[in-house]
Amino acid sequence: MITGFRLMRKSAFRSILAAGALLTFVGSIGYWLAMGAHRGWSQNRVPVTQTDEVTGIAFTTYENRFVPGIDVLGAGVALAAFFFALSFMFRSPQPLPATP
Amino acid sequence: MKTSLLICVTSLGLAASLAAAPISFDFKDPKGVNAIQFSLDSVLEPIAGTASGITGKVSFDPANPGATTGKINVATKSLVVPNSMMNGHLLGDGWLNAPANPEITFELTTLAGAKTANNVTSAIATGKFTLKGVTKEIKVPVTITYLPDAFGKRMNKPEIKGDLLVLRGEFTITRGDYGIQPGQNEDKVNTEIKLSLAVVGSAPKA
Repeated sequence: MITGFRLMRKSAFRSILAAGALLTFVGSIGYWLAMGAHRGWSQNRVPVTQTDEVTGIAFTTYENRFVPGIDVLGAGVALAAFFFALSFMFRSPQPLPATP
Repeated sequence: MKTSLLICVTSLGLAASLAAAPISFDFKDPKGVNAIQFSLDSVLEPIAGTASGITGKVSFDPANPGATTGKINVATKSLVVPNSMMNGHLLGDGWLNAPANPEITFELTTLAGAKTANNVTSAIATGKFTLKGVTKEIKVPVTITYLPDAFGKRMNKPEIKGDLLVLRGEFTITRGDYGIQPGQNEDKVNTEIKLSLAVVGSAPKA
């Protein structure tokens, strides 16, 4: 009875980790795509170019907003891989082959 | 009669000399537009940013642009890149060490080969460039655009008289020459830093 309960808990935990890995993987890719799919480093401020009308000087101002970059995407995928790898630690033991 | 003529000629001479006098332009821009853009290649993308803390004065004579002199200062702490962690590294001990080196300067010593057409002067500016406490003489191709009576228009106050002077130039330096991580991380961050200058100075007339 206890062994069966442990087996069930391991199996459930493994499923949770695998589902978490999938969610993290899809979530981080989705978040990165939705926020502009910036292929450089993350930005805490976004440069905006404007032009001074009289002098013609192009100058840069910054909007304070976060744009995730490849580093955020990489961290998300790495976390998903970690969860997925961790899930293998909770594999149910294989039943012993029946002896004749 | 002779006295009147003498006074008249002296007055005209004085007026002519005043008109030909160099004008001092202040590069602390009241509209906050002035900035130097910098860029250096790195592994993933070029590290590009701006430095907006520009001050300095340039003396420019529209009748003799070749005699231009002046100094432009950039507050080191005003350097900004889009990534705040990189910004910290850039201003920190390993790179510019902003607290110990608060200013980046360019002091114009000579302007060679000045050619002027339609208030735009092209020339090679030679000057002393100081970065991270290291001063080197560099040559920068520049264009100087003189905009007479444009100050009021720019400030949306046409009643204010005054002139503008726009300086533009691009040049490249090697970071190792100025003690910025010499010989280090060259496979990750390029040794060459491209600098692009586009700044305006004002000379309001009282």
